[in-house]
Amino acid sequence: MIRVALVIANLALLAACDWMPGKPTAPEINRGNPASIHGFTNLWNVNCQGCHGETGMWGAARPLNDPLYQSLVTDEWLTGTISNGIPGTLMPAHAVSMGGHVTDEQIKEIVEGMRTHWTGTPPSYAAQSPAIINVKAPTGNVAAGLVTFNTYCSPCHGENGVGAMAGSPVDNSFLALASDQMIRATIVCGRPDVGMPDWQGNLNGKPVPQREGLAPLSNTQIEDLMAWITSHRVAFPGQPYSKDGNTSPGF
Amino acid sequence: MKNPILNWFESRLHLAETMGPSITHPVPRSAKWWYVFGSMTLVLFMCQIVTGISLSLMYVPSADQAFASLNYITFQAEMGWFLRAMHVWGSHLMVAFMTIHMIQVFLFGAFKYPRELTWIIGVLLFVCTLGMAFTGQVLRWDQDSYWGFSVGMSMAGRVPWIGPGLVHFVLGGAIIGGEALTRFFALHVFVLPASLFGLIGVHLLLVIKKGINEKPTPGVLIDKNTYEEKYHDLVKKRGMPFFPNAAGRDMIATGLTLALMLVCAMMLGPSGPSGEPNPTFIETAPRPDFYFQSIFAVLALLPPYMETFLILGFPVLAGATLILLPFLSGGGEKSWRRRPISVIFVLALMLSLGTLTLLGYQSPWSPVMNAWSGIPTPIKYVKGRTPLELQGAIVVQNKQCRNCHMLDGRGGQRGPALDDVASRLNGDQLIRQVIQGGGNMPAYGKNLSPEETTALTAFLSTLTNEWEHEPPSGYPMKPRPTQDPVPPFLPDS
Amino acid sequence: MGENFDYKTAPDPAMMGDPSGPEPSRRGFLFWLGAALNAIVGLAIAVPVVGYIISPWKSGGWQKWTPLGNADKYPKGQTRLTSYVNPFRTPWDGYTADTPCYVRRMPSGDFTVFAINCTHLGCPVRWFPESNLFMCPCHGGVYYADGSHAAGPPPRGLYTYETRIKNGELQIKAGRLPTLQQSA
Repeated sequence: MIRVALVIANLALLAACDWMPGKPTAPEINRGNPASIHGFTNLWNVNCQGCHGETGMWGAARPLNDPLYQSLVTDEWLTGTISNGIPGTLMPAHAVSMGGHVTDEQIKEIVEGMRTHWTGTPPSYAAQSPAIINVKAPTGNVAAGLVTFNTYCSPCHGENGVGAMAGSPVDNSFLALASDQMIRATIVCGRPDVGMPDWQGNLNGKPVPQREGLAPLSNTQIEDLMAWITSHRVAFPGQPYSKDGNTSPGF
Repeated sequence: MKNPILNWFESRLHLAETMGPSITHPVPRSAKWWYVFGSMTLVLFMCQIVTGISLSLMYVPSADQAFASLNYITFQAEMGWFLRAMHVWGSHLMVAFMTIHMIQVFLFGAFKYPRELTWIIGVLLFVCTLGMAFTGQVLRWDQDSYWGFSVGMSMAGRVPWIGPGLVHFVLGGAIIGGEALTRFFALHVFVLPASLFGLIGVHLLLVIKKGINEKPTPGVLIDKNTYEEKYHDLVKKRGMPFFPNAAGRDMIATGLTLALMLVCAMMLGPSGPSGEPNPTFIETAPRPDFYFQSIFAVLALLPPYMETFLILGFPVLAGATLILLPFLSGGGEKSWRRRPISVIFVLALMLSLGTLTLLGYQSPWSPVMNAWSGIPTPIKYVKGRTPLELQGAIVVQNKQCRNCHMLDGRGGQRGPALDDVASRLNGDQLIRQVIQGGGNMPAYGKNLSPEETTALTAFLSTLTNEWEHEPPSGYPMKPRPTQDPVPPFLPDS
Repeated sequence: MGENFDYKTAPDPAMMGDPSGPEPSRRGFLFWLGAALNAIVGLAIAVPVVGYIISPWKSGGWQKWTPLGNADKYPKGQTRLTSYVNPFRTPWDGYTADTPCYVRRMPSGDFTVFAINCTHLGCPVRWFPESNLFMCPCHGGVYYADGSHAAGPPPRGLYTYETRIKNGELQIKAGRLPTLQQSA
């Protein structure tokens, strides 16, 4: 009898217990241990969204939630970039072996997550797109590049790249922070979030008015553009007191 | 004594004989609801003993097992979480009611002649209770507790001359580890409770022997020659026995206190454990328990030259003042109505403690350590920016500026928000501030390349209330003039 | 209540034994002998007890050369987080004996090893290679890459360990919790 009463009392207490808002739900054992974070969204939110945007778009850095871009980069390339960063640019190395704090397993999770979470369909011409990875130093013709630029890019970036509504892509500080890789990827894939069309002249599947009547950029044209743009790199970029940037500011 | 069984016990124990006069001792009739806070504190202490002993049945005071046993108590042991919740809320409320009790005694002049010793013992009880709170926080042995301990040791290490020795004495060894935990375990379950028991005994004895303070009448001064006589007259003629007359109020108050503790435990639950106390998990932002939030705030806001003095000198000074208080102001006026400085002092103390505690919870001085990679650039600051400015926006993230500076309400609050920085600083001023730092900002001169500085300045220059080129929604961009963020200037021409 | 028991009644002289007893001088002697005996025994108990309790009280010391692994695993020009097992650990210290520290290897190959503890109040500082700064999550102390104070309340730069290379292995003189008057 007493036993039964005890069991009932106990059950009543337990039932009451789950009603209590104060009951803790899950242990917080791994606080402060970045290696314990799992799941693409969690990893993305902690490590990536600062620069690449909450949804993989509208970040300050390259939008990665871009079907064309995703179709042009390989898993190995993404893994390598996340692990080692892009030296000379603002993309830091994340792998633990490189002094970051994202484990190889987590990097794999991020790469796989980008492929499975962002389900946009790449455009039909994705397969014919110029390559954007493993870019070598540009070998194109600088003069031809300027002509191409003034045909294709100047409506937004200004005649000779002086910058119009989209600003200058040949500013020496910008070029010092942008890798050839990044410049080429931007020419080929555009930036669908901020409004730059891809090599076909399309923005999110629709042609932009500025590129009306122009053929898609050819690989040669892209090489020429790269050559012309990167020819603006200077020895001493970002010097406010040196006009051409090729002579040392002297201090 | 009618009952023969009771009589048999009484003739051996003499309980009614010895305790009887005590529990029926006469108290002034003016002792109304103001006088219940001491009992409230006492009942919480007794409850702490019960929950504490219960917790000790499963808690393992060993550095490698304590955290696991706490998680076991919290998540597996039946009602274990509730025991922990009661213990922590009992502790919070005990500190709170003890403070209220102390303020009441202070304002009613009860610390004055002839109850100086009652007050002094009370101050020691207060110190021991805070000691219980701190040692209890250490026994929680999670990340907050571990680093809170580290903070405590850093303070002890500042003591002149004996600092380092003292640190190792408290730690019981070289580092915060097994021996440190067992030392605090011994303090928390043996030394401090035993001291509390002893002190409470003396405190209560004094309460009985010297009587409860009558509610002071403004304008009546203490005359040391006649006070005791007058008091005895008062309680004999117009007093009432403590039991059962005054005890009724106390029991209602203690019952409500315990009910409050139960409700707090039910609704708010236990504190932590907040994460394995593994020192190699450094990506943590330790925060102190509620009673130490004000100290946490003070230590962030003090100018460094005052710090050591305040950390070490202030507690000693405060303790000494409290103990010496009855000797500094042992006579004269009792009523708070005629002691304006005391009232102002209490109000100022409460206001500053309250404000500091609130600030401690907000902790605007703490960098948000993951803001740089975990809080995105606001989309409105990405829209319509040039390639250079976008690189500048990445610099803001990449160089951890966001850890201390907010954009659009998110980020650290150590430095000013940057949303309208360009309306405060021009391009040159921005460069100077970034390169040289100042005003609690590190100098980034060595850590930023010229191109990064240029990009950063270009981006920051767009952050102004009156940026006329903010693109309308719906269309991503709108024509804007070429920007030359920094006017050309040749120093040697 | 207690009216049956009049404790004020004087005790029965018969229960007190012989009132004459030993002489006063002899009684005084016995009292002082007893007191002295207890004092001596008490001291004999107190010495080991107090010695046991205060034995950790030493300033200086608590340092031993501790390995941080092969020196070559630390790349030049970088600062890396690593950890060592405290040389003064007890078997029940568990993970609390694992102590983190930052190894900075200069491009020249020289080493500086920083303690994890902020010099302000001992919180764990975090290294940010992007901005070359150490930041403290508690009160916002900031240090430059060389450990010198950059901003916030810390009264000095980061604590550094004494280092040496032995047989290609990086070693630090470590063990004690660094505090203001006793660096790492």
